[in-house]
Amino acid sequence: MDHESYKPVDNGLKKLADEELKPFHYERMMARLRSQKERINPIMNFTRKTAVIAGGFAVIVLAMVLIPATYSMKVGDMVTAEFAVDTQLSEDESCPTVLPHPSKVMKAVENIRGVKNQNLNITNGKAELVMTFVDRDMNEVESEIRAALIGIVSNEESILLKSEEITKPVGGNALAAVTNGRVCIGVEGPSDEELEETLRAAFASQGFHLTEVDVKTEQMGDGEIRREIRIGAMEVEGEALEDCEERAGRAIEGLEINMNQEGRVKIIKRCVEGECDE
Amino acid sequence: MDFEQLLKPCYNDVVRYARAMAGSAVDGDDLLQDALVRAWKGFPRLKDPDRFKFWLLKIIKNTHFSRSRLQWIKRAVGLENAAELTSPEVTSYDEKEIVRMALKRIPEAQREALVLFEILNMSVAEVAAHQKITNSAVKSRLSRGRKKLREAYEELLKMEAPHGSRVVQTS
Repeated sequence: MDHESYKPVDNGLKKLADEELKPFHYERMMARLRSQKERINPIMNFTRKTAVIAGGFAVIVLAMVLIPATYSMKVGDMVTAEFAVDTQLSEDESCPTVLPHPSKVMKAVENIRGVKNQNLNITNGKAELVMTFVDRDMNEVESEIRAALIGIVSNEESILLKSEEITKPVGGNALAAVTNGRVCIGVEGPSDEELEETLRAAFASQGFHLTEVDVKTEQMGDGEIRREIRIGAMEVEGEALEDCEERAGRAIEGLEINMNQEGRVKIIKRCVEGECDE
Repeated sequence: MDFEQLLKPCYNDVVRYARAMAGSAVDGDDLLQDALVRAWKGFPRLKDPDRFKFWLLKIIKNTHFSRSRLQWIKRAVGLENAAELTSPEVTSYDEKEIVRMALKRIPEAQREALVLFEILNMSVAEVAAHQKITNSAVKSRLSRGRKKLREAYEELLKMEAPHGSRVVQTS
């Protein structure tokens, strides 16, 4: 082939073409290759691939298990059933008697499919039943609640149901702040001041400063006393709350932690059987 | 035939090719080692053992491209330390080494055509088949490649590296 000759380049190219390899170059290269082959032999390769596939599968399975669980913990639909409560004065006319009995209401609705949380608050002749559902059609649920309350609520026409979808994920470490807490305890409980102190101490031991502690005691009838405790704290996580609950001991035994649609925590203790015993 | 049986007869050629593509003997041997691992992994998929040499050259070329990309990234990341890495000493090379360095400074396609034709002594038709181009295109690449190689060679001789380092021809 014709080409512009340039001696140094031609010489260089020729030397490259004639370049002799050092003795045992091939053997050394093969030895290195064999050692690499051992590291990535087909069995190891297979094992690694299998491990990757198995790992991926495990992640998918875990996700399938955890995502619904997380979902059910975090996002749901909340139905509030409000209904009138008949009250009648007790014989000595000092305390109103609450009808229907809260436990009957709770029992009636507890078997509705998909119930995650249920809380009943009764004040001044009005009851508020707050229930959280997961994976349920709200229209169906409303009719089921209404059906469940027939015969328990004396004036069925007074049942007013409203539902709202909880769309903002809450729960786990995302549980942000305790805004309003309600704790109902029994007759023989500590005084309001003692209870406030107990709660403050319990939260303080966990490093939380309660911004608000307000204990109110209410006579509910037949010597029953309902105490409503409102607490306010910032940046309290669910788990920490539970620790506080334990430390508060009897004072807030049975405390329940619920989440509302704003990603905030509402703590309520139910009065089961009308007794909020210590 | 197994992998090593096919490799041995063409081993010298693949070493020369790898070294010329990489720009130095050391880098070329590293490149070859990486390429041989890839080739060994892909060996069961080789349909025509008669094409083993060309198949391996292609793997070396692809491996070289992958490594070049990585090296470019490393260089881009480590530019602030480049001055410290450069030796202030005068460096001497013979024609063979300077040509190898110069080859690295010309376009990949022209470099490969030159290496296959001049160093591996392939025919124009073989180079054309390997590069999947026409014979005349090979000739054109060889001609332009030689011109560029000469320019690169001369440039290397004139080049004064940082800290006074110089490329000096010893033969």
